[in-house]
Amino acid sequence: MKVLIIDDEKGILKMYSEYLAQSGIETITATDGEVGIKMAKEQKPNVIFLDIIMPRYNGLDVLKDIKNDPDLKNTPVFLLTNLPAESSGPTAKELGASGYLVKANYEPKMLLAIVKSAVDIPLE
Amino acid sequence: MHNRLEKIIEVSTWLIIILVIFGVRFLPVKLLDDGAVFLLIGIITAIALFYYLIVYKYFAKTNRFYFKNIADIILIGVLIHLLKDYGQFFFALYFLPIAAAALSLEFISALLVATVASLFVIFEIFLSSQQLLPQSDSYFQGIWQIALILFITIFCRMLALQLRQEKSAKEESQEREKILKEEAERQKKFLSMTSHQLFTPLSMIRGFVAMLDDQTLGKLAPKQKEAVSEIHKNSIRMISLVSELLSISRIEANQFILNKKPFDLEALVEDCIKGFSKTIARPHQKLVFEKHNALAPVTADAEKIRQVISNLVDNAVKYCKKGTITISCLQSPDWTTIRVSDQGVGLDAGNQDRLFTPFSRGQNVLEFDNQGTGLGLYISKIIVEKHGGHISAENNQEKGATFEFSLPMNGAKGEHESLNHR
Repeated sequence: MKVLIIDDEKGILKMYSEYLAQSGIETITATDGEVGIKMAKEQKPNVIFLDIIMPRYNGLDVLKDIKNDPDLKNTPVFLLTNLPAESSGPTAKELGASGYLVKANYEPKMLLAIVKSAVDIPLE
Repeated sequence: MHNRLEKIIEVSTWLIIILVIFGVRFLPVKLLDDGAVFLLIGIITAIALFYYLIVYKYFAKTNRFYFKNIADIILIGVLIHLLKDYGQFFFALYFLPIAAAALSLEFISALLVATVASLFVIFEIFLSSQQLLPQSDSYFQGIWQIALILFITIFCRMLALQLRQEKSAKEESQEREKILKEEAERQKKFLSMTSHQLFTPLSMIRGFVAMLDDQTLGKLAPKQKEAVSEIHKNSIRMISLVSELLSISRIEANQFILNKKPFDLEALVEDCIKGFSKTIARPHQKLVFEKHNALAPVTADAEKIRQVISNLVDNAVKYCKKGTITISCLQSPDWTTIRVSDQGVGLDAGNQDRLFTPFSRGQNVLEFDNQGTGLGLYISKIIVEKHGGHISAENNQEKGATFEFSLPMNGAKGEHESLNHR
C-alpha cells in the first residue's frame, strides 16, 4: 500500500506522512505538481492526495494530467486543500477527483480512514 | 436636472422649428437664387452629417441633444422654403438628416428609422400620383406639406430617441451586470484565499495537536495530556468558528450558492447520525431516527441540509446531557419537515426571539460548558430560508425543546405552510 501526497506546505506533508507511516502505510511526498506527477508515474501509488494552490502547477491541472495518463487514470485522487468546497469542488468532481477534503476538517487519523476506504472500493 | 434641461431644449427646439417652417413657407418672395440654395443645402447637409456622425456620437454619452436640434432648425427651414418651387426632389433631401440622426444608432435601428421616413414619402408620392392631394400651388397644399413634414420629423425623431434610449438602457444594464460580475468574482476569490490562508496554519495546529493528543508522537504525562486535549478541543472550536464566520461572509457577499439536486433524505439523516456516534455520551444520551413512512427524494442542496441537521443535533446534544434526541421526517405533497426534538433543559422563555440571531446563547450556557460558536442556528436559518423554507423552535409540553425546519418538495421557493403534525 503506497500513498502519494502532493502539497507545497512542508508542515502538512510531515504531519500526514508521519501518521500514515506510523500506521504502516508507505507514504511518499512531493512539494510541487511536476515532481508529483513524475513520482506518480514512477512509483504507482494506490492513492494520491493533492493540494490545489501550489506554485507553478495548480492542483487542478495536475489532476487533469493524472486523469489523462493511461497508467494513472484509475488511481483514486483526493483533493486535500483549504479552499472551500464551493470554489473548486465542482471542477474537481468534473475532472474525476474521488473526493474533496478540506484539510482543516481532516486530522491525520481521518485521512487514514479515507485511504482505507478508497482502496477497499474496487476500481473500474 | 439634466433630463429637465434636455426636455426644455427639445420642446423649445420644436417650437422654433414650427415658427421657422411657417415663416419661411409663407414668405411672399424667394430669399435666395437657385445657385445659392444648392450651395446652402450642401453646407448644411455637411454640417448636419458632421454633427450627427462625429459631434453627436461624442456627446451622446452626455445626452447633449441640442447639437442635433440646432442643425434640424436650419435644415428644415431651408428645405421648406425650397419646396415651394422644387417639389419632391428637395422634399426627399430632408431624409438625409433623418437617416444621419439614425446613423448614431446601430445599423439595423438606423435603417428602421430611415425606412419609416421613406415610407411616408412614398405614401405621399402615391397619393399625389392618384391625384388625391391638392395639385395647385394653394395654401391648402402648403399646409398639407408642412403638416406631413412635421409629422414625419416628429415621428422619426421620437422613434430614433426611443431606440437610442433602449440601446443605452441595454448598454447600461450590461455594464452594470459586468461590474457586478467582476465584483462577485473578486469577492469569491478573496473569500477563497482568506479561507485558505486562515485554515492552513489552523489545520496544522489541529493535526499535530491531534497526534499529540492520541499519543502518536509519544506518551504524555497526565497533566500534559490534559492540556493537549484542551488545545485539541479548542483548535477544533476555532476552526468551526472561522468556518462559520466565512460562511456568513459568503452569505453577506452573496456568494452562498445552493447546488440543488434530488437526494435521499433518509440516507442523509442516517449518515448524520453516524457522524455523531462518537459525540453521544451513551448510555445517558440516545440519538434515534424516527421514521413515519417512506420518504420521497427531496430537491435541495444536500450538503447544506446536512449542515442544518448537524447544527440542530449538535445543539440538542449540548443541552440534553441525559435523555433521547429524536430526529423525525414528515412529508406532505408540498413540504418536507425535519424535526429534532430533545429532552433537555428547553429554551429560555425570554430568549426565543433571538435564537436564530448571531452569537445568541441561552442563559444556561455556562451551566452546560457550551463550546459552540453561537452562529450555527443563524447559518441554519439562512440555509433553510435560501431554500424557500422556514425554521422554528419551541419548548416541548413535557421536557426539552423541538427545532423543526421545512423545505419545499420541488426545491422551488414558495410560501411556507406548516404541516401541523404536532
